[in-house]
Order: sequence, then C-alpha cells, then structure tokens
Amino acid sequence: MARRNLNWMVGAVATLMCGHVIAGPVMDEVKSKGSLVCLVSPNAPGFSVPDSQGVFQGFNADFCRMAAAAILGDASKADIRGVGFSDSLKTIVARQAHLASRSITSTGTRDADPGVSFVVTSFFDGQGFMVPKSLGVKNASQLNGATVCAEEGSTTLLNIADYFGDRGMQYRVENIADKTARLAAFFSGKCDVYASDVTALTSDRLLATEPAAYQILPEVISAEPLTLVSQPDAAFEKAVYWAFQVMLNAEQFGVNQANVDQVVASLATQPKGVARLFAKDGATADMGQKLGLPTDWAYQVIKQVGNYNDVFERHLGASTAFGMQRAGGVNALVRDGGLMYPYPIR
Amino acid sequence: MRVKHTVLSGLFVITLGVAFTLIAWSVHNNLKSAGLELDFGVFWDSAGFDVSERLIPYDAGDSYARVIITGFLNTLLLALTSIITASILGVWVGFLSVSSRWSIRTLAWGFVELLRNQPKILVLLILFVVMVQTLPPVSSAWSIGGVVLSNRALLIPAIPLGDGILILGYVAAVLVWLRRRPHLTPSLLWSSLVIIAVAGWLLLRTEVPIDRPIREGFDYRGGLRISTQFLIMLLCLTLYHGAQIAEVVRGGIQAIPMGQIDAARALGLPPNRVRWLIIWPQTLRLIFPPLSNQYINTFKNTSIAIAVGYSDLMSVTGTMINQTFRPIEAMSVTIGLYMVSCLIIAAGLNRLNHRLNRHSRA
Repeated sequence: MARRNLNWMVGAVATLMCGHVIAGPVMDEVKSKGSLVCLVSPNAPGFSVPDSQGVFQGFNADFCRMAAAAILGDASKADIRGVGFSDSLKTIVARQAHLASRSITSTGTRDADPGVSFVVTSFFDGQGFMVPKSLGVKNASQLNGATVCAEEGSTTLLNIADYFGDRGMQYRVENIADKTARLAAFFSGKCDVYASDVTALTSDRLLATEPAAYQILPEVISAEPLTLVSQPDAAFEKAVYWAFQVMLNAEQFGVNQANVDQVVASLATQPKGVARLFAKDGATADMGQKLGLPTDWAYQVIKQVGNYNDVFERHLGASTAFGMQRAGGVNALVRDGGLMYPYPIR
Repeated sequence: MRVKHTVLSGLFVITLGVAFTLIAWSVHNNLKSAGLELDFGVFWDSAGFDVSERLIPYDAGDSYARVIITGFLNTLLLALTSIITASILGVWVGFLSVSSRWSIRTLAWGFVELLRNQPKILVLLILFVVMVQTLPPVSSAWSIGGVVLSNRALLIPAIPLGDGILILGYVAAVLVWLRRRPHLTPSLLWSSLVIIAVAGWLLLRTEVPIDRPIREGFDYRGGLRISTQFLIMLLCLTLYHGAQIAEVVRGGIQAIPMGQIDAARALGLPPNRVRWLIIWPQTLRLIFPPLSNQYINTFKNTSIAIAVGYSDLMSVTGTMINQTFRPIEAMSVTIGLYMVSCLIIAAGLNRLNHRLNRHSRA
C-alpha cells in the first residue's frame, strides 16, 4: 500500500512539476545511471521470487537481466523490483521504471496509449480456471453459479465477464487485490474457482498445502501474449526487441550458455548465421554500434543469461517443480511447432 | 484591522487561484505534448467487468459512470456503518479506560495500544485470513433459524421491501404511542402486547412471503446477503477507529473537573447517572472537533477495502484506469467524490458542534 501511494505521489509530482514533457531517450538515462530499473511481480514462483539474498530470480526476472546485459554489458546491473500489477503500468507511465517484465497482456487499447510501449512477447499464455478436485467439476461449462476469485484490476476480470456473459451463465466475482488474501480466499473455499493465466495457476497451485487437491480445467478462454513493456523510446525498444531475438536465434543454432565460449572460440567452423551473431565484424556488432550497445552485446546476453531455452528450462522446465513441457506448446520455436519465431539477424 | 484581514484573504484566494490555474495549464500542456487529450466521454463506455457487490443493479455491460456510482455507494455504506459502530465501541472503551478498577483500565489500555500501533492494512489482512479460514465453507455452512453463515457471506431471511416498510411503520407507531405515556402502567403494557400479538398474527395470516436463503449448486441463493469482506472491513474499521475514538473520549472525560463529579456524587446520583447526565454531555462538547476528524479518517480509510475484494470506489476506479489508461479523468472524479463527501461530513458535524456549544458560550 505504501508503495502504491508513493508511486502515485511520484507520478503526480512529476506531472505537475515539470513545465514540459522530457521526451529524452530512456536509453541515455539507463546508460548514464548505469542501471536499468525493471519491474516484476513480487511473488510469482517460477517467474519472479526473491531468493535468500532478496534478489529476484525467475523466468521474468531473467528478461530484465537480458536487457541489462545487452545495454550495459552486465546482467547484474538490472535493478529488479517487485511491484503489483496495477502499479507496474502506472510506474512506467510516470517514468519511474524503464522496463516491466511481468505478466502483462498486450492488448490493442493498452498499446494505443502513448505512455507505454509493448516491445516483445516473452511468453504466450491464456486464461484458465483452477478448481478444488472435491468440487467434482470437469470443465468450465459446469461453472454456472460459481464464485470466482481473480486479481483486481486485471484483464482477467473482463475475460470472465465475457466468458460467463456470452454463455448466459451466472457467477459471482471476488476481485481481491492482495495476493495473500486472494489465495487464502481460494484455498479456504471462499471462492469455488480461481481464474488467472494458466502459467500463474500452475505456479500458484504449488502454494497450496496440498497441490494435488487442485486441478486446472482444460479450457483456455483467452489469448494472453505476455509482453515486455517499456517507456516509449525507439532505441531502447529496439535493443530489448533484438536482444530477445538473439536469444531465439542462439537457440535455433544450438548455442547456449554452456557452450557459447566454445562456439565463439571456433567461429570459423560454425555456420554463417552463428558468425553473424557473435563475430566482431558480425551483424550484431554493426547493430550494436547503431543502437549504442556494447560491441559484444549478443555474446553477453547468451553468456550471462542464456538462450530462450536455457531460461525456460532453468525456471519452468521439466527439472523444476512446475514441470512445464515446452515442446509442442505455444512457447516452442516455430520449427518445433510453437510461436517463437527467430527473426533474421543479418 | 478588518481592512488588513480582507486584503490578506483576497491575496490568499488570488494566489491559490493562480497556483491552481498554473497546475491545470501545465497538466494540460504536458498531456497534449504526450499526445493525450482529456476526454471525459470515456465514462460512458462499457466497463466490461463485474463487481463483488452492488446496491443498485449493475452488470458488466453497463458504463464506467455506473460502476463508479456502484462503487461509491459501497464506500458510503461501509463508511456510515463503520462510523456508527466505531463510535459505539470507542465511547464504551473510552469509559472503560477511566474505570476505577485497575483490571478494566488495563484491558482497555491494552486494546487501544494493540490497535493503535499496527498499520491498518496489516490488521485487515490478519482479520481476513483468519476469518476466511475459521468460518466454514459453503458446503458446511452454519445455519441457525434460517440465518446462514459461511466464509462467503452472512445470509438473513428477508422480507419484501413493501411489507418491511409496513411492519417497521407499525412498530414505530407502537413505540411512539408508548413514548407519549410517561408512566408505563402494567395494564398499558399488557394491552400493547396484546395489540402487537394480534397484529403479528394478522400479518402471518396474510402470509408475508419471506425470502429464505436456499442451497443451490455452488452457493446459497436468496435472502439478504452481507458479504464476509464487508463484515471484515466493518470489523477492521470498527476496531481500528474504535481504539482511536476511545483515546479521544478518554481525553475528553479526563478534562472534566473532578469537582463536577464529586458534586454529582454528593447529590446522591448513582454512577450510571453521573456518567450519562454529568460527564457525557460535557465530554461530547469537548471531543466533538477531534471526533469529526476521526469520522473523516474513517471515511477515507474505507479505501483499503481494495485489498480484500470489497468493490469500493478506489477498487472500481483502479480497474477503470488499468483498462482505459485514463488516470487523470478517473482520478479527478475519484478525488472529487471523496472531497465532496468529506466536506459534507465536516460541514454537518460543524453545524452539530455549533448547536452543542450554543448554550455553553456565554
């Protein structure tokens, strides 16, 4: 609550005090301060959770590091902060953070707002429902008359209204802003159903005392392209966008965090695409010069953060508690049947 | 002196006006250069989301204006009930805290200090988590005499509005009639009881259709529904502001000269009458201004309801901002509504204060 108020105050004061809008490049500010302020969810297992040192770890947090590695050459210069959903966008609009890497769905009306830019989709998700198995519900069409818990202020509320409204089904909503309160409400049976993005449901289920007592229903009722959001600034957006493409391209060529040094040492024997990614006179070096990035930014991203698959497997994959299958899902590379399409770097 | 006063006031108003115009002008220009124009037409767009509770009909297809009114009415309901309950608790604890018994005094002190030294939001979250886990889920809800309590809501059998007004009117008429008679003789009491019984029987004969909560599917349907988040918010604000009001009341009581109380005792007045005839009227005059401040605080503090899913004004405007990205429009309306409500409360209490103090000013 304190942070909410502070953000508002900062935003309001910033709006009131300056006589004219500073349209100055975000890129310059990041470089001059030597740190990139990046917002993540305060507690989303697998996506962003503070470790024992209070440093955020997770899938979303790593895209903050990707941006810092590409722009500042040092992933640890990402100043990652945990902020609630509603406040993240306000904070970006108020120019108090450079990037938000949290589950923000890109929508037409949001993108039409000049205060924020949706840069690149880091995760394709969709909204689903979780219920206690004891309820005996097998699919969402049986939810007529149910009470649904959802996060206050999110698109989830609108998707639920559409889903139930279109089918003439009744429901009651519990729009709870505080996550502790929301989960307490669901796990204690105050709500029958918990609605959120499927990935969020997967991670929140682990917070139950008995995760096996809950199931996620098969229906996915919305498209949720979860997208990195920045302050509007062409140079900054391009840097973030292409850093992400480097991660996809590296995966396509089989270059990962573990073997990148080896690959760079033997560029002459590598495919031309790999040379364009990492050679000192390669395409990325040229791009770096034009965008004002360190010459070896592509190498730094892969060395310090990894390719897309490294990040996915590290936080969400089969070896983690979430056990998400990437192959065959929408977040696989195009060649594996997914939606992740590596744009050519040349 | 008067001229100087007028000139200074005039200057103050002009400065304020200029400052406000400058701010408005700056905001307007900043927005314009960012490509944003103020557009209050957005309030007539369809909101597209539902709320947890409503006092007027509202569904997701209605406009933002309507959802804001819905949220504002929820805020008003919560604020007014909290102010009443917090006052009752505050006055009670205030009197306890000046009790002559050490144990009672300590209890009252402990209650006040426990609540006064915690942030509201923490008190709220603790109450919420404890309540939803303690109260039974719908499947095993407590049901006593048609009243159903689960961790979702308290459901009370309801009488249709028309019949309700009739019954209330009748009870009020009986009470007024009884009050007109200063000495309630046994015969009068008996005859009135007979009249009440006959009337009750007549009412039952015409079969007032009572709307009882019935278990259906996932939940109960029917009856008067009071959500647990409303009850939890009410409890939180009552405890929190009750403790603050108790301190105000204690201060007021301790400011009454001991001579007043000694004199009342010397007259042989029993302690209860000393309390309500001597101490309380004088205390009320003293504590009215700080009490008014507490009421305005209570009103504003209803806004923490967003944390636990009570659809108040802040909650609906927050969602509106997230969907429309029109913070200036939505926040200015919200600010306006809070400001006007608080000013009305303050003005009403000021008038009351003047009336209370009219006699004491010589």
